[in-house]
Amino acid sequence: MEQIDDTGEDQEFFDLWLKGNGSGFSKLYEKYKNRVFGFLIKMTGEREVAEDLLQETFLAAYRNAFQFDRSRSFLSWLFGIAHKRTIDYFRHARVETDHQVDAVDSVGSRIESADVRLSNENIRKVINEAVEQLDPLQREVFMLRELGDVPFKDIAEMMNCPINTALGRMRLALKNIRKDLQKRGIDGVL
Amino acid sequence: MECCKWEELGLLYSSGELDRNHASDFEEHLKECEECRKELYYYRAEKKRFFTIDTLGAAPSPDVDAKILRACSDVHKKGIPFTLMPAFLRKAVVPFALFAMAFVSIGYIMMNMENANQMKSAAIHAQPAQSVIQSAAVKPTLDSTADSAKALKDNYAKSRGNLEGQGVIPVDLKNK
Repeated sequence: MEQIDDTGEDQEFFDLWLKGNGSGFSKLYEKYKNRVFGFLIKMTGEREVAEDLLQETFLAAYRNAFQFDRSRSFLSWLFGIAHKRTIDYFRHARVETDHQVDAVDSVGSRIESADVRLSNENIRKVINEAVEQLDPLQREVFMLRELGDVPFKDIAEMMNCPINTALGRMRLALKNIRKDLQKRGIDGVL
Repeated sequence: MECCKWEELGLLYSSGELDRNHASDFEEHLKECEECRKELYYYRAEKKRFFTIDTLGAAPSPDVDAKILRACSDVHKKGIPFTLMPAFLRKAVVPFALFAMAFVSIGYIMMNMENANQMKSAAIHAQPAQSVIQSAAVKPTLDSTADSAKALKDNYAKSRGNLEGQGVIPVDLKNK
């Protein structure tokens, strides 16, 4: 099972943080910033906005620390906050997701041959393009699950939908990413 | 054709969200269903190779790191700096301040009006009693200084009698 099981360590850092020890917070921040920031960039499509939201997410986590349910994972809770911040951002800014169109155009011009050996940077680029092409709701579920390790029942709660809907979106996201990769001659099991 | 069990249970099985009974049921199902076996195998391989922090994650700039670390470690000492407040809070600060000022000003004016009304109504109620006291009082007419004490006493008794006759009971300071 690909579950992240750092609950004990996270709570230790969290307690230090609450007691005002800066090292507790910096350890949690270093550990999870790339995941949260990756999620925010995929959701907003803009680096600067994602940086603002990252800041808001961690500050909101600090302010609402007393609401953290210790029976849950810290990362899921953090992703819940990041998700809320993203929704607030779209609600307030009413940003048009034009970047999706750009992504579709750029992907279409970069189909690679089957025998290309992909470097890490290329894999990263190809995967990110495939993720950007997903329907926004599918992308949301996919990112929450894969980067945030958020359980499906929590994803359903966050997105205010039945769990079967969340599972259906995840299945479609995986199917679409796989299809996109196969189109470029990339197979996940190779 | 994809087996419906994959969407229903396979993803929950992969995320470790199935309880022991359902997990063992699905494991039994995996033995029979090639589709689900294939899906699980593919998903695990993709997760390991593609869906990692390195590929999906992103690093914020060092400036942002420093700003956030500084802000969050200082929050408990200094409160939240204005520039680090969420955007919607920053936008709400000015309208909230105006609202608070208006609220305080209106409250102050209303409180003064209320006090003025109370004083006015107290004055209106006090007026009849004052006129009764004035009408009941008899001006002393003193012929000489010798019988001034007697005259004052008589005058006092008359005034008191008049007031009592009109339902006003004066306080008897002498007996107190």
